[in-house]
Amino acid sequence: MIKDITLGQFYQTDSVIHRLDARVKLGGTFLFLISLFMFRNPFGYALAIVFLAMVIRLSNVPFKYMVRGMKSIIFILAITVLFNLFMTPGNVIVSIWKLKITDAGLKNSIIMILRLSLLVTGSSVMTLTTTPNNLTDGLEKMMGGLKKIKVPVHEIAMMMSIALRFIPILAQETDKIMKAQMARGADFESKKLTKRIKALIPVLVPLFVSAFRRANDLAMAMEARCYRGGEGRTKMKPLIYADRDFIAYGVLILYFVVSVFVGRLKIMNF
Amino acid sequence: MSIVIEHLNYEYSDSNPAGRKALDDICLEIEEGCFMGIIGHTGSGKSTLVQHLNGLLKKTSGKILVDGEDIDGDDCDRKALRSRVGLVFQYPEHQLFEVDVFSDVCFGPKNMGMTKKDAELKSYAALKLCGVEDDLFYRSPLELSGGQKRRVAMAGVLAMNPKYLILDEPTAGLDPGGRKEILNLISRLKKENNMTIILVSHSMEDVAEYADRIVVMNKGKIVFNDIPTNVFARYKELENMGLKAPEVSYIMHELKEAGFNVDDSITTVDQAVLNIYQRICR
Amino acid sequence: MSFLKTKDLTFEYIRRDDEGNVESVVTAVDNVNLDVHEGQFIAILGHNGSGKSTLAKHINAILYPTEGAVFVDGMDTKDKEKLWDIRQRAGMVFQNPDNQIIGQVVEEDVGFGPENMGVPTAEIWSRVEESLRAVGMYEYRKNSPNRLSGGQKQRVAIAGVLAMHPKCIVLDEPTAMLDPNGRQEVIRAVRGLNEVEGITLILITHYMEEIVHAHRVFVMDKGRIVMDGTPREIFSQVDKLRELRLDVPQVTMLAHELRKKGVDIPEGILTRKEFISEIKKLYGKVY
Repeated sequence: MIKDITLGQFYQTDSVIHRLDARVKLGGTFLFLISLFMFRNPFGYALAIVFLAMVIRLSNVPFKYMVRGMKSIIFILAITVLFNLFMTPGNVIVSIWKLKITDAGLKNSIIMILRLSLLVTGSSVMTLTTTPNNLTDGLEKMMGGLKKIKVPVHEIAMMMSIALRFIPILAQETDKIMKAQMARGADFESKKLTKRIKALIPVLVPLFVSAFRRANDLAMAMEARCYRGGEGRTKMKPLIYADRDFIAYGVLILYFVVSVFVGRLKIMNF
Repeated sequence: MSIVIEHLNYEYSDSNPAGRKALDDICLEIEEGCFMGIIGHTGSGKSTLVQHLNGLLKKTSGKILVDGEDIDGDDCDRKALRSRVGLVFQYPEHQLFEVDVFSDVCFGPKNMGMTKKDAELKSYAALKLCGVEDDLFYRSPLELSGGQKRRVAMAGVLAMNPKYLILDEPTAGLDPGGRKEILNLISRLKKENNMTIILVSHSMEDVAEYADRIVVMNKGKIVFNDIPTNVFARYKELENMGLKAPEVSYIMHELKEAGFNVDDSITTVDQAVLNIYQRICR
Repeated sequence: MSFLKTKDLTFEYIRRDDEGNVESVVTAVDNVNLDVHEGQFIAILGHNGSGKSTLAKHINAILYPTEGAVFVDGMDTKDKEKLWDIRQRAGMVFQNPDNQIIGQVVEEDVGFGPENMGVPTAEIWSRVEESLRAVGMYEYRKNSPNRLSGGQKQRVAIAGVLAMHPKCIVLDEPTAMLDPNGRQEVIRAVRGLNEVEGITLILITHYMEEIVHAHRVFVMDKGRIVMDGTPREIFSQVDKLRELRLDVPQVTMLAHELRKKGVDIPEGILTRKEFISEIKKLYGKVY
């Protein structure tokens, strides 16, 4: 279950999307996310789905990798959907016991599902095709202006990159810890919520202890390799725009303008 | 009474890109009272196999019977199974979580539904059995040395009173002295407490010295299942799997090739000393 | 040429209670004098808690002596100005491969050190390539470290240090978490660096098979150096090693036990070949 988190898991292959400058992908993801929240009708979402499908196709990353990212948010998704489904006032369509499903609720739920899944899949495309180092390099460069007002841009970028690298390792470790405790009779499948929360303690304590030890080790290893912050550092892979990056920017802006224009037309409005 | 595994298969869920079979048609009987060593290099499926024995992993197909009871049967009590088949994992750091050693060992028996008093009695006995001194009982597990942590982790499983004890790489990361102590402890559990031991290891030397039966795994399959002498006689095949016989068995083979009349089926240093002394030096 | 010198090196851990009062003082390294020459392969042995890792961390200026001094390539590690020169010249590889790899792609990780040192981009690439080739990991340069075996990860970590062009590599139990195949891979790689590139090696371990080819071995116990000599000299003292919670290779043990039974075989046998030829010398038929 925990192993399935795709976020921060780079997928090694070669594709146009992989070769794009990280800044393009960051900017693109940002534009894509904004576009999702501007749609007022189904056509916008249709465009977004087509666009995302094309990008995924170009990225050469198997589709099932994207779906794996979805699995991890299914719980959040289910809760939001349930809330929207039952809590939105409007014309009642179906009523079961005390719960009433309204037309507005149904509509909201569908929009929620669409938004969240596109949001997660869209960001997965970015993390699957960009190495974290590259991604943070891109962030660092895009936010370079903030350095002047004393924002530690390099440090933030480095922290993010390290966090991303350790997510899969800690996820795997969580799995092992859970097994070790299950072998001692720990019960993670209890029906009682209080019991389930209590059962987490034997997992979280070893996990935190291990995370702190790893952090300590890593800090030492980085210092041993002469790491001393962003000052005077050179780049192995400096970010330089190529022609394809400008074309990609063009495509992105085109998508944004068209999808937002179409998505806000007053036909079949929500 | 024994653990019987019949045609056990395990495949990773299809999200795994390799889509590989982790266990391929495993048939094995682990008799009560034996000391079985399971060897194989990393990724050979040995850890995956033992995690089936107490139901931590769910088989794809096949059957596992513990003392005649199907562990995937509807009436099988999971908790009772996990106390009957104890599993100690490689890193004690993965299970130690309580504020002090004693309460950590109590975690298992309490989960088994024992009363506080029973749990404490069992834990005390288990800690003593593992050679943990009284003055460590109320120390934080985090303050212990590697060898001590390992003992406490073992006590945590032993306190549940298992009949079968599986140890997955129990000596990894320990220094030679610590390794020896843990292995002696395991061998004592078998001799004095009559436990059935299943030792997963990649150290041929350790397995050769302690196990009375060796199972060799490669690519999810059982390649050999025999007494140590017979397994190490096939050292050339072991090498092809990236494994090796203990150094001493190579020495005996080379001596024999050099024309000395020694027993080349020997697998431990003690036997070798005696054999060489009697056959050559006298 | 002397590369590393420690002079009466002593290091104390001070434990404090909640109020900041000194609870206890543990002397982890006690009056150690070492002199390592350029190009040597040095092994430091000792059981867990003997102080060998604490000693190693002084060479890279991660820890500083409580008393005494450490000189790396003539530079005092207490000299803050020289800190980065020292760390560049004496690289360090740690025990847990996962906790020292920073990059998510092999080549990016190897480039991390040179990036920190401010090496120009083109040179970083050539250094990364040459380092990965030296440890036999070049074909994995585009891989994610998470998909490598333990031995491969450690070789990447070694390449990461190598790319900083150090004169010396300190390896702090690099094989403790690996399986036998991984151990062999790593030891082979570092021995190659010593023999081919002339890099000074300081290998800290408790696996005795790994030190057979060392030029000089130090054995530590309770923070002190208690034995010092060639591998043969060290392995000749089987009983003393056992007292120090260490072990010897099976072949050495076998010869030792036979000797105890009155067989006239020399102490400190290191390889199977030696053992067989000694037995032949003593008992072989004359053809």
